[in-house]
Amino acid sequence: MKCEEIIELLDDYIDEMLPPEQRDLVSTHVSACASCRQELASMQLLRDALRNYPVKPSSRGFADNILRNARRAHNRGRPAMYMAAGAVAAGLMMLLVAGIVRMDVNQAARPAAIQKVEMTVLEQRTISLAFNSPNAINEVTFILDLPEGIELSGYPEQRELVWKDALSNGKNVLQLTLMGKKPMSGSLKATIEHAGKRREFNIPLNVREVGASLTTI
Amino acid sequence: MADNVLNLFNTHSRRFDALLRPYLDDLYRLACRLCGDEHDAEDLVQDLAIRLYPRLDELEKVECLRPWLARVLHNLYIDAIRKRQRRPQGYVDNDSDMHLARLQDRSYGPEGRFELDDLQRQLAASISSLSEEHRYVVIMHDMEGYTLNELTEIFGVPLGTLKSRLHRARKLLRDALGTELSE
Repeated sequence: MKCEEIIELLDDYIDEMLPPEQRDLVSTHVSACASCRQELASMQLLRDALRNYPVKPSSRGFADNILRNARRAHNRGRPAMYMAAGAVAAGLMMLLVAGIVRMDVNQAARPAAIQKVEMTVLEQRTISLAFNSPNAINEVTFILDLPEGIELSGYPEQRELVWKDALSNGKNVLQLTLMGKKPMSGSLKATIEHAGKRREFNIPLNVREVGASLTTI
Repeated sequence: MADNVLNLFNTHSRRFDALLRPYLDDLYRLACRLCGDEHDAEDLVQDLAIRLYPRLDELEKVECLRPWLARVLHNLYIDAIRKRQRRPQGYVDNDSDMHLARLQDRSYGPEGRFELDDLQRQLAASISSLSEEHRYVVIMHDMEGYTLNELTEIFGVPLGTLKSRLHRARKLLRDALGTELSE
């Protein structure tokens, strides 16, 4: 091949876009032709300079900040898509929840009664929410709204969690590990949505300072 | 009958984090190349993440996420340029002189993390002098390593057109750099 033809192939050569036969032809030619070898070296030098052109590092905590801000931007007001997702199969009418039958694994079961959760600042407490469903339901949207002063283990700074799951016929247990961040009295709201229907449950919470006496239950 | 145990591991935010986090560094690098400024680059990636957050279901169906995300980022950048033409503020600067000044300003000095050598300084100037379509293909292929086949999807143009742009862009850069590329 002539040098002009070889030079036309050099872009594809360095991009590894040539079929094996042509690649061998170019390799053979440049090893014997000083001019084409120089051309190839110049192209590779440019390519290396471009590849190695530096980028200033991102700011500290860049990835965490990006993801947190994205989450916050949508949690400020619950995005309409979540509501739409929960509104599928709107023709079905189901009684989703007979009641939360047990609040705390450490406490005696009290069907349909919601007990107040008492904890101290920085204490971790695992609670179990049991949802009784008379039917299996494939697509259910769960929403947890956490009051200020309470954090869910593994989800720092998140006030709202939204996710989808399925309910089985019978008892469905959701375990939550809560941590008291500062003294507060309020409630955690658990909402279940399906087919345009929703049920809300408020779980009263009380977080007190370490050493403070328990005055109310 | 055993209780059904519900879990929190498929929460929206957790799924989104798991999906996007591996690509954030790549997206930042690409955004830096496009914007020519690290703060603008972070703003651009932030904008992308906020827009994609409610589109998680769509994201999870994408087979090759890296080029897909690059395409969305590039489109956002183009949108920002258009908006900037109407509004004199934003996270991109389409003025080539300003872009060049920013690129050249990246020497950072002795307290910075790196300094550019002469070839890279001239390269910065040469890249900024390219037309947008030539600059994009050089940035995404030669600098960031997206394959030409991926770029056909990202830019929505045929392979032959991309090769032609790349060939032309490299020629312009080599002409501009002249003896700098002589060993």
